[in-house]
Amino acid sequence: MRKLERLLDLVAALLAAEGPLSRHQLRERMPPGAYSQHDENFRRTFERDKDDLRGMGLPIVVEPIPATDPPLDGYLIHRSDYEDDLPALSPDELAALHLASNVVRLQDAPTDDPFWRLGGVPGPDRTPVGVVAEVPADEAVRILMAATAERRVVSFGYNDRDRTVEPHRLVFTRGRWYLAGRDLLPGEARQFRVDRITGPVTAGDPGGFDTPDTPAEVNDDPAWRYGDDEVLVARLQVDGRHVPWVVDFLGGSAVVEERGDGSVVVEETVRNRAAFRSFVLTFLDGAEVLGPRELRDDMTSWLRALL
Amino acid sequence: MTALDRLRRLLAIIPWVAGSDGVDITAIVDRFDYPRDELLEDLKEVVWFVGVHPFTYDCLLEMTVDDERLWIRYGDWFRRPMKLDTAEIVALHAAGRSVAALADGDEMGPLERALTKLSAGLAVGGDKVVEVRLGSGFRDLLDQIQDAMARSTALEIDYYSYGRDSAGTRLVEPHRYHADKGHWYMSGYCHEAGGQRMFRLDRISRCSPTGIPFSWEPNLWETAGEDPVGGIPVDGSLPEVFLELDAAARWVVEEYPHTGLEEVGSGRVRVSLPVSTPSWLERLLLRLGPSATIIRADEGLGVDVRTAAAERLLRRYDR
Repeated sequence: MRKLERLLDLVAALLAAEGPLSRHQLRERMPPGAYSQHDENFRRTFERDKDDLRGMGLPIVVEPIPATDPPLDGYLIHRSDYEDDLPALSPDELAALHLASNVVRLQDAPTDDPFWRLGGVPGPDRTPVGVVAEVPADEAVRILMAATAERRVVSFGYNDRDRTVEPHRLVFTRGRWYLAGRDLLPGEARQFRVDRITGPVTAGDPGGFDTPDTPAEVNDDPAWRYGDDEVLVARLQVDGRHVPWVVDFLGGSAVVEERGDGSVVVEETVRNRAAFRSFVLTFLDGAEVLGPRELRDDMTSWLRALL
Repeated sequence: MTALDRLRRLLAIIPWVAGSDGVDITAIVDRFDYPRDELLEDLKEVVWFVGVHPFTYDCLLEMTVDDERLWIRYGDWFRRPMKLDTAEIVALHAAGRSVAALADGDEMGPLERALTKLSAGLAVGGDKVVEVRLGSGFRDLLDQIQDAMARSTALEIDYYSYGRDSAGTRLVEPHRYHADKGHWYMSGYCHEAGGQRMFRLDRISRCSPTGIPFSWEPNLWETAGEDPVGGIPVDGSLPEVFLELDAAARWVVEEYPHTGLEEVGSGRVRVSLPVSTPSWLERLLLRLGPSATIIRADEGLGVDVRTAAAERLLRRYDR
């Protein structure tokens, strides 16, 4: 018998089972010739089939078979675990979603498989579109996506420590994934860069923590706004050629003055002087710290030290 | 296709066909990316026999197939397709929302309706906790670029070149646009450069349509991953600097392509960095300050670069 037929029959048997079935009971419920009568060969093929199906995401569960002595475990698929229960998507909805998933493409994620289960990708809209953004989505990201949505506590290594975290928010911003949540060991809100997580990410059971009243939020504000330095409000003049960027980066509300030569003056709260200095230096001689005096002196003494 | 590739598709196709009054074979081929010959063979030689114990007629899938159409009237075990798992729903939802945020208009379009239906598969609030932010603020410019692409007409832009630290006007034939690492880019043919170039939208200070037509053969499957920082060759074709970095300056190794890396203890590293433009090196050395030591540099890239840049910046402060 072909492997495809055997696997289809096995899925049907697991879905049709009224209770958990042992491996041998399953063999009896398969067409003749599906599995070898040689027990060891059968066991090996069956285990491989089971791994293949689980690898595809089929929710095969192991449960004790009632009234067996000694107790025996058996297999089945609960229909409620397996059957899709989303509202049906109309062809135009499916097409729009498929288009969106091609425009913003999650790397390393199967692209068409979820769509087959939603009813296939309607023909006319298979026309290729330009990819507008590619977002990395490796296994750690996928586990965190599900864990964040299902409120599962996650564990992973970070900065040479094992962390146990209630994940509140997972955000892809400025080219990276960030996780914000409650780190259980200090019991404080923390933010993690997902690409710096070491080792595997493991997730606990769904609903492992209550919906937080004030969830930790991913903060992608510039680094100089956070720190322990004395709080200063910097006035920075930025030349015209850098204006579109600085306005986009800091937001239009940062601009306090537009000058006739095309330059602007922005105001920024600075709590981390080193980070602010580094930011200003990216403009080379296209920007100037106008004040306050401490920040202007900080810049000139930094530069003098490099002469 | 492997047996698992076929199984994946058939577990979706069977319920889809069973829920309708027969389906054209062509529609299945298109929707599920299933080559026609393989599909017909699998239907006639495999699916036909699928069922449950004791495999009597009433325990088999009830199916009719000819070369044009497929009917499935009974297949209770496969009455619904397999669920999407949470990660799949969240990923689709997050991608869809970021695209919806790009689109104009308040009306509930098909994408928004699809996202609402997907939310039904998530726990309450589960559709709000994962987000893909592509960067915003360039709606008008993106509209102009999309419009010029649709009309195949060139744009005139005032553009600041970060690498060369200089600004100028360029005539560009826009071919595509994309977001990468929080920035938006337009790529296309630049008449001034005489070749394909990529432009970061936040460095465009003026953009106007010219009405000048162009023709172009799109290669739409080309990926967005032309890294704007990369694209820097690490094959030794560029001049290089060899720096020793304090532990605090290790971010340089993550941030920029390098051609060699060596740990020297206490968190310090030595790294060889290709230098694409002098301005890039000036910025880097000024930012790193005393946390970087220049061990070796190709001609014109040594400590003099840093000194000259520091002097130039100081002149602005001495005015």
